[in-house]
Amino acid sequence: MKAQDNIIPRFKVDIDLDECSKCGRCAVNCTFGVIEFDGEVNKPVVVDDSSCVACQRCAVFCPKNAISIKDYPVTYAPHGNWTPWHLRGINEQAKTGSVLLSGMGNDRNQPVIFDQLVWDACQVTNPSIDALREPVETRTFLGRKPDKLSFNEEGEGISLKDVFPNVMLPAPLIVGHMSLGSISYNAYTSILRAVSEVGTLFGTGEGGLHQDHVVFRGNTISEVASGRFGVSPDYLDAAAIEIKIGQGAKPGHGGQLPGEKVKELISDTRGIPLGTDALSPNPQHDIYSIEDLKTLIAALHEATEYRVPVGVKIAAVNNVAPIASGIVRAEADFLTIDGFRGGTGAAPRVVRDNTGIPVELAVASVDQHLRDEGIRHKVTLVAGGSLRSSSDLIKIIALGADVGMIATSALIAMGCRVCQQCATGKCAWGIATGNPGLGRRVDMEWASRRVVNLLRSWTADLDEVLGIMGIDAVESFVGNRDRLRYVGPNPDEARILGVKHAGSRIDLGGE
Amino acid sequence: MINKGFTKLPKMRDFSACAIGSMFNLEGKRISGKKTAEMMSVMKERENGLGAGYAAYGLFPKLREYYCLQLILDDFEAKERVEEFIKDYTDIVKEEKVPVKKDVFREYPLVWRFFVEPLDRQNSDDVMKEIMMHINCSIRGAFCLSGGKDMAVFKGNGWATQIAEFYQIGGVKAYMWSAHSRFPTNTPGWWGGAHPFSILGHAVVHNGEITSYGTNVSYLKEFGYECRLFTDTEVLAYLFDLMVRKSGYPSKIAHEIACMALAPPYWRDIDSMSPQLKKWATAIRITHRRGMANGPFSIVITTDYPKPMMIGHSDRKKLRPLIAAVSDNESTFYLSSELNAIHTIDDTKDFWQPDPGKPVIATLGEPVVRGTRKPFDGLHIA
Amino acid sequence: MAKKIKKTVIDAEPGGRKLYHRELNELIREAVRDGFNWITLINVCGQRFIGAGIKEEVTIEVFGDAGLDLGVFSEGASIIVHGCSEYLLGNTLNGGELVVYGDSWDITGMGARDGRMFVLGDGGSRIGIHMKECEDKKPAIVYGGRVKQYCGEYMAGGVIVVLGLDYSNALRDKGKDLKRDNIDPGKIVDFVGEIVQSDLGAGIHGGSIYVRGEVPDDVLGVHASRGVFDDGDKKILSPLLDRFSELFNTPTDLIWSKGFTKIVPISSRPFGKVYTPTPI
Repeated sequence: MKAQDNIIPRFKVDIDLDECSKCGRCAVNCTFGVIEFDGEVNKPVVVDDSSCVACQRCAVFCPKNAISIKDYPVTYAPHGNWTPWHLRGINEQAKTGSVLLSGMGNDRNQPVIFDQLVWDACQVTNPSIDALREPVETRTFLGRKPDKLSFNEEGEGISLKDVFPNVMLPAPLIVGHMSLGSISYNAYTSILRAVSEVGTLFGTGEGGLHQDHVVFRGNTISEVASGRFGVSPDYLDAAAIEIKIGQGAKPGHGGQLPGEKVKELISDTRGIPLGTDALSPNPQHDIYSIEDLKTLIAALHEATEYRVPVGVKIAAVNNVAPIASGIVRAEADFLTIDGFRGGTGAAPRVVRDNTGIPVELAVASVDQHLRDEGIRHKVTLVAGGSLRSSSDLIKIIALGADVGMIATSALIAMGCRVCQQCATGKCAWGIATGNPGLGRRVDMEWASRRVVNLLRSWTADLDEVLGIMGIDAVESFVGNRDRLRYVGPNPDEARILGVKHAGSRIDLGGE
Repeated sequence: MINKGFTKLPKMRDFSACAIGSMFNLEGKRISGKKTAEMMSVMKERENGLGAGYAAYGLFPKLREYYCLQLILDDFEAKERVEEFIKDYTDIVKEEKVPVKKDVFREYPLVWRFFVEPLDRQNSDDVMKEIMMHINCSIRGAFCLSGGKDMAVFKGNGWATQIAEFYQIGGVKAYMWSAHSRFPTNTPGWWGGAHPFSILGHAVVHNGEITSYGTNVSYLKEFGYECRLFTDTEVLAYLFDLMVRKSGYPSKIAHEIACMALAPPYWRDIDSMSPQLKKWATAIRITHRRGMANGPFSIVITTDYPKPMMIGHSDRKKLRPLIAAVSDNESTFYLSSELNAIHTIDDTKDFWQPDPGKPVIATLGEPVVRGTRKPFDGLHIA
Repeated sequence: MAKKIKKTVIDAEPGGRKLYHRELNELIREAVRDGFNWITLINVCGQRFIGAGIKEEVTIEVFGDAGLDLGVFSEGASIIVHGCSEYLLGNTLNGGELVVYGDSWDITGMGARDGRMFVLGDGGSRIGIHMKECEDKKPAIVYGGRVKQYCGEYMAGGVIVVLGLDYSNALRDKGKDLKRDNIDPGKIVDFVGEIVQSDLGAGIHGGSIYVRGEVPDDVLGVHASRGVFDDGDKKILSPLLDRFSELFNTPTDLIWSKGFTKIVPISSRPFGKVYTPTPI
């Protein structure tokens, strides 16, 4: 503990010196300056508890399991209102006088609606399907769909006109945007390799596309965001393009890659000077109103000769439903909704923790609104922020999303512990950092295998669950809220979700 | 004595398991419903007396250009409410009480029919569809059993044999018959819940349960079909009407598209199709993905659009039974849940089980293709 | 051990009134109790559960189409149908022999534990699903015609044989009952085209399926694989096919004129890797 900080540390790190093998790995691995190896006395020393962020790197790498990390054993006087979280927050701002930046998603205690939902199974009146032995289809197409087929009459025959460009996904699951810069080259490449193997997509984020990654273009969604970093014609030649209006972690706020993370690689790929902050403006300066969005979408369609689906990502906010409607009418091919729990490399904490609404409610509301307007069938709805397990994925599909999007989950698969220090660039796991030395800590072979496993096992879970519901093709499950039931405390929530309360025999809203 | 439960809409979704029996005289010869009733009577195990019905085509040769709205009504006042409503949109050419046998049920509704011609000649089908939906959802005490031309549906809450007796099916002559009896799990008493479910000239009988119900209902809503009756069959009938008529697809292929949309081939099979067929199958499946009927089903769709035809179709996993047959002299086509029902009235040796997920289509005046059909077989698609 | 045959005839439609299955089965059981061991049923039309639960070694001869669940749960009966048998033939069969001179469609022999089923004509989906064997109890299903999807799904033992023979022109007199002597052995031909459909042996983890002729790779179901047909298989098939030949007046050299494709499990725990027990 350092006295001038005026506050107790969050965590206490202890090393059991009897077990310790004096290998020094803990000191080497810690990037936050908590442990140093004292060569003179030949043992590791905890020099600064207050810098520990509980990223667990030291504990995992200790060959003797000799390290414990606990809550710091100095009690706060209990208070229902002035919690330690508040005390620390005030302390930080009093110390720095600035807007506090943090990483990852909202960590506050607002309700998680996924946990209030359960789903159906088939019994007696309808058989369930054994997904292991009988086909359950999860193939999904991302892109705009026509109202109905149109035909050319050709002499005696009838032929189809081409439908809109669509990207074929093996399952309704993609990895959302995380820019090169917010995560390390190794982590980024690992994800690209994984989606390429599985056949799904990864959002490039706003960092442009490194030349090493051009080979993965067929599995990327290129992001066109307010900073327009790296947006060239080649960049647009991806599987899909997404205009980023907003992001769940920081709706209304642009992006920022703090200068600490702008090393050579990033500077090159983004086209900015070394060490400068990479700032994305809050709005896109050519989109001040909905008709401007339509213009940008049209511009992108023209630039790609209408070969590539162009989508729009928005954060889930109060009026997400009419905004979504406007976007569909602006000819977007797909629409991504990022909920308020979405992650980020860096965002002001105050924005991250309070802005936006849960994606569960947003998706149900958007899905219903688009249906009421008769336009739901035209667009692919992608949703994320945050899907923490295959059950969240399955529920978001039932609530109305065609495709689920993960990001934080992919990082956790690669070793992330959600210690929320991404903005510092000191990620001990080598994931959320621009430091090439740290980035090398991610073994790309291992990491991409882990992400592949995650994507495949969630798809297998989806198969199982569709099977027990007697559904053999995921398109019959999208928006099928009839199969969900609500077990939470708030009937209003159930009503907005369009989900009946468990056990009810009377039809409520929804259809 | 009239019980108000006949026309009252249910509050909960209805699941049922059932029997299907249909016959179609391919030469257009009108025959008595007695044989169809016999088919249904031997499948009594599959029903529990809580619903049965018959659809018949070719009933009114002298009035065949007019739509026949056949209704069940709680009382005469309900009939007047219906009349009040429809006279604003149609010319009523004729109306009559449908003759029923009085001593079959203790309580039964008034059965009435109007022969009408919509004032809006251009959009007559859409107008009639709206009228039917309005009567079912908004006119108290009335339920429209059918609203097609030269056809009618006779159904209610009872055993198949009772319904046949009540409506005196033996005395009704039609060239195409489709019948159903059911084993519902709730909504006793609602006469409208039995099958066939009919919209315009289409009638659907259905054995099974749709797991995609929620998805299908929301899809239909986007195209102007309100599903308020909480039955799977309603959804199937509307999906069929949407894809065959409302979509405006060329009439040569509309029903093929509809069948493929209801039970599309697996992607693994589409992947290995010829490029032409692959393009069609992919486009149909992607465009109408929310119209896919998921879950076990065996259905018989009878329709007069574009020509009188009878379609037997099943889900891709073949979870409900269906047997097809043709009489030895090739004049009559049969579909039934069980072979013995067909053999009760015709001991033909020409029968087969249709393949899972592939429709069997019989058209008036055309020979029936036995066994497995290739999709879009014989049609010129480029 | 020649048993004295004691015959009786039961009319399933006496005086024009079709007997309900419960009545018919009661009459059958009564006849069995009275010591009859050859019970002929005439005018059968779709009655279900014929021979259900019978343990005695009696013969029931059915004229007409049998209804669902013929021989369900039975253990020793020999049932012969001169007509078709609706689906669920031999459901959970424990022994005995079921013979159908016609088609019998879906879910034949579901969960069968022993006994034999011989069908002249075509089958539907999920033939022999979850058949199982244990020591000397080894059920068998032989189809003369073709079958559809999921043949042998979840099989855990026993034998399924699909021959792909077309008898449609081999019936001498279509007006007469479907019996052995109504079949002209000279007019039996091979079916043209596929005799099995997709997902053959999906999830098979015991037993074998023998399909007469070639089977394309893309019909093999999940974890089904081709086995090597050897003398051991010949020993298994010969008695079954001899019996088939005898029942349906089919020359054995026609049956053996094509080789058999053998389908076996890849392991007894084919899905072992999909599920992993987890400590969390």
